[in-house]
Amino acid sequence: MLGSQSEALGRNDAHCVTQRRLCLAAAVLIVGIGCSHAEQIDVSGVWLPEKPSKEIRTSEGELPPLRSEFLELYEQRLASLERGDNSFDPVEAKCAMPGLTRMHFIPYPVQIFQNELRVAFVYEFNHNFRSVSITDQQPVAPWETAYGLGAAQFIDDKLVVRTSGLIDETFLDSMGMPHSNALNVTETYRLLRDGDKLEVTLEFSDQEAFSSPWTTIVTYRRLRNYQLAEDICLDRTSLGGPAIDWNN
Amino acid sequence: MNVWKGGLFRLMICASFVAAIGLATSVPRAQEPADESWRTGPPQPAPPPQIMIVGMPPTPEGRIVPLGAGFPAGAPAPYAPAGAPAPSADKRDLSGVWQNTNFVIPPWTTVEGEPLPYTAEGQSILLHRVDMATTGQSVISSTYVCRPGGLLNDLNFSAPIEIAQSDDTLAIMVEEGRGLHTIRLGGTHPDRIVPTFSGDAIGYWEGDTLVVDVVGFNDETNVDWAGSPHSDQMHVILRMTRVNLGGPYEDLRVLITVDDPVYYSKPWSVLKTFRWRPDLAPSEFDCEGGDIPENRDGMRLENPALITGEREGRR
Repeated sequence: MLGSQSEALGRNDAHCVTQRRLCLAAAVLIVGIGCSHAEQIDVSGVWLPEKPSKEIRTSEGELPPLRSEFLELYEQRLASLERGDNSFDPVEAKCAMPGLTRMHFIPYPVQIFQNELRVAFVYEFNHNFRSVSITDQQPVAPWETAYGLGAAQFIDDKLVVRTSGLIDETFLDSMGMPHSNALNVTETYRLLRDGDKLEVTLEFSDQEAFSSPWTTIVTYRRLRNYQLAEDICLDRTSLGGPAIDWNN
Repeated sequence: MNVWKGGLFRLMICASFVAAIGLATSVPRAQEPADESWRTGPPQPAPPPQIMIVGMPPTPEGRIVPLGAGFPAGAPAPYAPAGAPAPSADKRDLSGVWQNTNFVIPPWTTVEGEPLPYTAEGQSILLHRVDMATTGQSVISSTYVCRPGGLLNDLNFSAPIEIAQSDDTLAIMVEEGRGLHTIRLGGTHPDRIVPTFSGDAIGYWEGDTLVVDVVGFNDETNVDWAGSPHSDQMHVILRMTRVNLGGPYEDLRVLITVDDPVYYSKPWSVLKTFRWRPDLAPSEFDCEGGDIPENRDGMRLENPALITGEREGRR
């Protein structure tokens, strides 16, 4: 089609038509690429939870669907806290690592870094950090730990981090919400408000502890011109303070 | 966890592994990542080791030298598996996982292979700590009570470190002791700095070298594993550069210069070289969670402020 049209036109005219069509094709290609692949999200920056909370609830505001054995354990812990006894809590008792989920709910900033290979989460609380590979292959954790072993993927305009290998010695919140070693957590990060707000949807799947998967949502606001401070939890507790300073 | 035992154990495992894989006759070149097998593949061996003559300075770069300069060098540190992605094409991008090749247990020697230039007081403190360790009553240092090990110790450990970088911040995450150092890129030190374990760190570029200037340390950590002291007057400058030492991937060279007029008669420098190891990642180090008093049986607490938290400037 292009050939026959070019032959019917003068040399310059044919050249112009060809150029226009190439430009049009390039434009269509660029628009097409833009439509089929959303821009990769960049969650780099310092973020502060907007609504820190001691209690975790589902996105419907309900108690997570604990199985009876784990509900009993949770109620025992609530009763201990009612008596003013938090010695069952490794974070309050020893400044142990709070773990992946609990970190989302305490009033301390997190700085997120990302490059081609990894996404790193650097927490101000007690110089904790975790880091995950960017890969579509889910790693298998050789043993369970507080932050488990995760893998990150950029899907559309979201960052999705799937983590397993989470040790049952951590709690999902600061009231003792239990989980088992079978817990899988999927975090989906999404930027809102022109990049000043970060929404994280947490999906929990743990057949031993919960009767069904459930979700909750946390939001962060961006802190600009903020450098993470050095925080030594044991210094705080040795002077009689709490491990987690809720007035932080 | 007993940090000392942990570090030594890793070193022994590392040395055994290097010995087991034998010595290569040629160095493989970096390859384009074809698949994900590099994440779990075997590390690539490095060139054959050269035996150092006792007393020969300086410490060879890129070699496992646990006993420091002047002692026979160990095997060369392995490289990342074949097929692993190379560091960023941007020489000013230092992000990624790296592993120190120069974990040193005894008192450090300078880049010239000489003892650190201790003042009389500095030498006295070191000798006391060495004496106590050799008689089985080691003096408790910060890492034994789950406090940060300090910048210099953190750059000595043999476990992997991760560097994360953004336009305005560079963070160094260290497995051993869960060391964390955040460096502001650009800017100046504030007029008044509250002393901390990590100090106040700023960084700026000189060509492709990141110069990191750190002041504002407390005096609760040590320079090295043996117990060489530092004061709160210590000023540290790191010069961090990606270099090609002939291996399949670039290495990260960190020249550390220390100026501490209280315990050292003049500034001195040591060199640490880190291998690019994207197949590794720092493991979790929950010192507090696993800590029990028995970890410090027979040890001496000579600085009560380490555990009382009663030091200037704590949060």
